[in-house]
Amino acid sequence: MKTKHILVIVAMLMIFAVGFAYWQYNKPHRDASSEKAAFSMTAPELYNAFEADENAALIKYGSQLIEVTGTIKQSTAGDDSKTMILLASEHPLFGIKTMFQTPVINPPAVGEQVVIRGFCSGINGDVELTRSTIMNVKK
Amino acid sequence: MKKLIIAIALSGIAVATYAQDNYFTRNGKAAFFSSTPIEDIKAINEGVVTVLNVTNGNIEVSMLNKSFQFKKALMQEHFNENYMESNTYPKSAFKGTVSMEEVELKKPGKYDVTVAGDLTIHGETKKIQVPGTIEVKGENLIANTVFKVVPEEYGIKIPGTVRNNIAEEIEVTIDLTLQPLVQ
Repeated sequence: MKTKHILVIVAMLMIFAVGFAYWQYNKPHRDASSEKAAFSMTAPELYNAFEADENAALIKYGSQLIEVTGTIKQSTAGDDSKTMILLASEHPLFGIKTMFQTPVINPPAVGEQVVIRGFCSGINGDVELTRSTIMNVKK
Repeated sequence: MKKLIIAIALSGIAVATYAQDNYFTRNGKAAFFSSTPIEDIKAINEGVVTVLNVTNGNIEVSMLNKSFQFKKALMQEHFNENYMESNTYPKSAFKGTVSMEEVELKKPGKYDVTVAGDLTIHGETKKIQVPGTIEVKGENLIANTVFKVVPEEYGIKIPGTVRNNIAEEIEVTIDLTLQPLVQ
């Protein structure tokens, strides 16, 4: 009987292992709209943090979900690809580049204030946020 | 590269005079594709930053590794944590020249060019030379190139257990719509 018990346990462990592997392989991407934002700040504040100390900012903000409030400087938010909203910082050219997986319906216009959440990849000219979502549009 | 762009943006009269010399994009596209009998792997980065000087052909291309998007979250995680080690090497970059003498900027059309320079991935730099095209379209220049990368040449370690899941050579496609950089 002991052998039978062991076989049942082994079978259950194998089913569990296969199930776990399947779940891991198919696990969904992190979701900016449902996950809790690790940080909430203005676009200039986020940009300045990276400007001041890129290495420290990467450690603090890298891969984190960040909620940013800012003014839209440039937008291709309604486009099928390269869907992006650039939020202004104090820098003349660079800011917070928020990138979207799908086009934004009724995208807000340049000049409007928005709250956007995205996952921080680091800084490359702009500070980049990916898999972004617009939380609300402030008028 | 950021210093280059700041220097250009803030250099006043020189920029105004030669404003058409430099072309820029902040949402160029880099895609890589690996195909094996076991599975296909594809990733896209739509935040590629590029500055191209059309007078001397100097080009700088850079992208953040964590901005590559995969269909499968687990693949994206493995890419960043195990292969690219993105916390240590946040960016992939290219610095070199484009044979702009082949391109007639005032004449719309597609021109064949050669791109040569240093490709840096995972902290390793290798010299590459690849063909590409530049299309003159209105005010913009559309640049395109496709080339192959061998991960091991850039110190990327792929474990034996998954080696057959990933192609020996990864196909990289770059698509950039460059606009004149004006103040």
